[in-house]
Amino acid sequence: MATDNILEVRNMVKHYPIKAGVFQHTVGHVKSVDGVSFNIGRGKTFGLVGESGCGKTTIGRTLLRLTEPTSGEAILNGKDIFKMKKRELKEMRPHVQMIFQDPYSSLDPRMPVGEIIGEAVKEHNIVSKADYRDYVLNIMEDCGLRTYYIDRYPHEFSGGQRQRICIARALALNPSLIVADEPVSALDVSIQAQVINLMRDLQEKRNLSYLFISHDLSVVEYISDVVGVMYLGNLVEMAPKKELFKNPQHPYTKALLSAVPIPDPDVKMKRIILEGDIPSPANPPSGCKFHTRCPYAKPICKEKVPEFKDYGNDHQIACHLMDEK
Amino acid sequence: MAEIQSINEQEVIEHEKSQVVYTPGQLVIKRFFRNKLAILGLGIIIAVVLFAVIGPMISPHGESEIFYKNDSTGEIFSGTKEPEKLKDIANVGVYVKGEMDSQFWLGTDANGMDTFTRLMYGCRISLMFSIVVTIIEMLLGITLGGIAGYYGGKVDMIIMRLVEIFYCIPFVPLMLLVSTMMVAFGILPEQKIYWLMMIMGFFNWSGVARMVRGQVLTIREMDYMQAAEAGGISVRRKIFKHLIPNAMPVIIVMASMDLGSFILTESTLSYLGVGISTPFASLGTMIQAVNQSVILKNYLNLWIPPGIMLLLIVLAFNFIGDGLRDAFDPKMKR
Amino acid sequence: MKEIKALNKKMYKKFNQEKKRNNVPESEYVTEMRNPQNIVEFDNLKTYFYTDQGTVKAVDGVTFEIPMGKTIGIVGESGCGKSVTSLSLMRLLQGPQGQISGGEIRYNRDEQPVDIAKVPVKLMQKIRGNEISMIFQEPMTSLNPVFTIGDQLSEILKLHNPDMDKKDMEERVIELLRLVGIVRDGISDSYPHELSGGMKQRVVIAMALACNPRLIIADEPTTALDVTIQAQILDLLRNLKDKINASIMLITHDLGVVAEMADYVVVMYAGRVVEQGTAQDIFHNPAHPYTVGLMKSRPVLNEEIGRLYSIPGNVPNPINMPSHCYFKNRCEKGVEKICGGEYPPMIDLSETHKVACYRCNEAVQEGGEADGN
Repeated sequence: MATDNILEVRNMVKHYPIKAGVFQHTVGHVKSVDGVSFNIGRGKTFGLVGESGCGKTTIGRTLLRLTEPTSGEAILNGKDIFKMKKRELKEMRPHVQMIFQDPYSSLDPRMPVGEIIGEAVKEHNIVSKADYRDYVLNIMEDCGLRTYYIDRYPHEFSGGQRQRICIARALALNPSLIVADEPVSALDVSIQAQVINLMRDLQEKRNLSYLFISHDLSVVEYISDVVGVMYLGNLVEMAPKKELFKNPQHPYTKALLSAVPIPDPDVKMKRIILEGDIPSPANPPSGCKFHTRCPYAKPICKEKVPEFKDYGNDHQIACHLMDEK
Repeated sequence: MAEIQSINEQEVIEHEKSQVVYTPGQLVIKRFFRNKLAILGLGIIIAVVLFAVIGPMISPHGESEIFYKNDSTGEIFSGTKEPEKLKDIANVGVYVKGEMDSQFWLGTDANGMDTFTRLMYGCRISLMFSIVVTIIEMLLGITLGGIAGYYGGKVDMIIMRLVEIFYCIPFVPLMLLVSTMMVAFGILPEQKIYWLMMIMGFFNWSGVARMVRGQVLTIREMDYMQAAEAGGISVRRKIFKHLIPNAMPVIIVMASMDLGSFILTESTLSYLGVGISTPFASLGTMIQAVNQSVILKNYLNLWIPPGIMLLLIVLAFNFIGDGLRDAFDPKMKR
Repeated sequence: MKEIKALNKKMYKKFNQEKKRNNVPESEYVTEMRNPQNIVEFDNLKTYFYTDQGTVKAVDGVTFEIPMGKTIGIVGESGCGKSVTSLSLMRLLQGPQGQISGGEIRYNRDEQPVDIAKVPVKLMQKIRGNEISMIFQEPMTSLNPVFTIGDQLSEILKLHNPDMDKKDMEERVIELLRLVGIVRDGISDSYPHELSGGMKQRVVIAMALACNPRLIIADEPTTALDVTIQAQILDLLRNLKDKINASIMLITHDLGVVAEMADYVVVMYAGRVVEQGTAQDIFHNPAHPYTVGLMKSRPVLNEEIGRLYSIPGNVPNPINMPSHCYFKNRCEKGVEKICGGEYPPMIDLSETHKVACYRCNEAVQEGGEADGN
């Protein structure tokens, strides 16, 4: 099994210091990611769901070393990304790429499309100079971009097309893993479908692995093979897609699933409505972080942090209630 | 049904191909030239530059050429070109505050020099002065601000404290001091102007640095910079291909505004007597003539033209700056 | 280029003249409702933006009605004109570029029905906020950060009921906050930044309810919120619907939200209504290819689908719209012979269900044979 994984993340922690005062001393930490472990299989998609502030974006950025991790390890092709030195890191870059949420700020407005896509190709000498233009055109065609777009500037494109350009830029480096941070949530519904389909087609064609980060459960269900649910810096539940969506166990997952509006006026879901708001990650509740909003909270939840355990069918859950069953 | 879509596809491709493609730069230029005030500003500046550069070549008089008048013959002549005529000491006097006529379009000033010609030289020096100061200021400000913004941390801390210190220095008293020192060290008037340029440039970089730092900080957090980082793009390329082109609009706008404001500062200093000194003309030294109440009242031709010139130049630079800002960022307009 | 500028100048002038007019005679704006059971009737509303690039027909002949006490959901993608429709109703368009260029918005006032498109500015100020209120997408930007929640609520109350005394006002503020599910003590003394996004949105809703409006326009009220908070707010809105006697005009791009909230649904595309009907009509028998495409392109929870359906292409450029059906180029049912002609008229499929598509009518007449092509 283990050899099949393209990426293994062990106990990733990322704390942002909170600085205050004249001398900017650290007064506390925002525990953005607080010990997260997961694997991504080769050619598979790992979906990461959670609400804003749960640390899902931080995981993506830390994996690319756009922010430095506090501790933990992330093994990609046998090497730990978090321990890489500058040179190694540069060699690693092409293997892991990212697609961003906002298609407007992720393209340099002063660069033509061809250069945006090919910039890093040149940097890493992936193809010879003679083949360069054809290579870029080829990638563009793969991503559903017309070839004459190559000399145009980003301002001429709509959100969907811009997102295609972002995908093309990531793809040009021939990566094996793509971190997609909410790639469709800024797009219109009909365009979302185009981008998702494109991502799926590319996955099949190039045996890509995705880390798909989103707050949109239905999209995650559609695209992922394994799904992890995050709450305040921790995974609370992780399982293969079917298992998780058919048989959710953690109260938070249940609430999250029931909160999604169903586009059918006659279906009236029995909704679990969570009280209150998400606590601040700078000062998370003790014990199980979810106990302040959990409808089934017990005294033990306040005191002891639940263990993230496998309860069969590759279904991992962190909840005290599971042990009682 | 498939064919209708392919027909449409063809239509779209043809339509898109027929579109005129503009680069962001071309778009900016197009928007700039749609702004009437900006065009006016550009026109004024071009006119003033031509006036200041070509004017002296055409003008028959020199910058510090003194004219004399022989009272008995009524003849007016140049002291440098026809020195032999000066010998008639009894009748010859400096042609002071001469009237406007075909030879002296704006008359002569209190030293017997041609005002119109001096106006040309004045514009030339003032423009030169402000351009050089702006360049010095920008070089210092962009470098330091860029370093502070890009590297952050301690470097940023140090540079920003430096900026704050420079902000606290009272500029005019400092210039008074510098001027006195220059006199004490016996620096010649023709060298004084270079010293002034350097000192002014050196004491004005802080505003630019602060602005550039802010700009770099925002651009650095943009997703495309993150994407460049993730693509392993080298630091040099990141700075020169992404950071600087995207910070350029703000820098250009600021530079165009500063060009105007330095002309104003230079005039203030010259007016106070700490800037450029006679015999060299600058707009400020020319306006300084107004200190004599006789001139203020009776010889409007001596100080109004340089005043208007000053007003026009500063206004024009501001129009251009505003026009550029709107052209770079059309959303800012409202 | 010149023509555009000349036209814009003319329209700006017209706009400013209309704005300046005092003492508009009542006969100009008083109308008759087509159906007295409706609170608002949009009749061929046309809202254009006169920009430097040309005239953008943001809303181009929109006709639908909002029945009293019902919730109507307006669905469409960005740029389809759904927000502009609501802004036209509030007369909050960015002038002088944005103007109502034609059509009527009949609003059933208590005294007499009026045409919002022609109502003088003074009367509009009375209607706005008092009778029709609005909930915006961003709760952060619709609250003033320097005043407490209580201050902001009582300010609205004061504006619309000048003779209310202080004690009544305080009571009313607390009552309003309780109505939106905020029961914490002392909340009216807190500032917006002390509240979370969901709380802020509740306060915004309370502000919209402050004057017992007859119509509430909710423009993407939950888009900026997290899923669990969205569920809270939707739940709140649904409960409020029964408690207050107001119609709700819900604008959203999320079909799920509409299905849950709305009694009637209007689907808009490129400034036109392409389909309208009851929620059941739209969700169970969608007729317009665009509506069908929209529904198919969203993955649904716990439903296995092979490949997502995606509508090809992009929304057409809003300047210089073609004369044929705007959706023709993206439509999988499009036939040049039929769809290449004029823009299709609204066809009644049933008493409540209307659609603007030539092919749908055909499909109904031929009993679905057209699908075989």
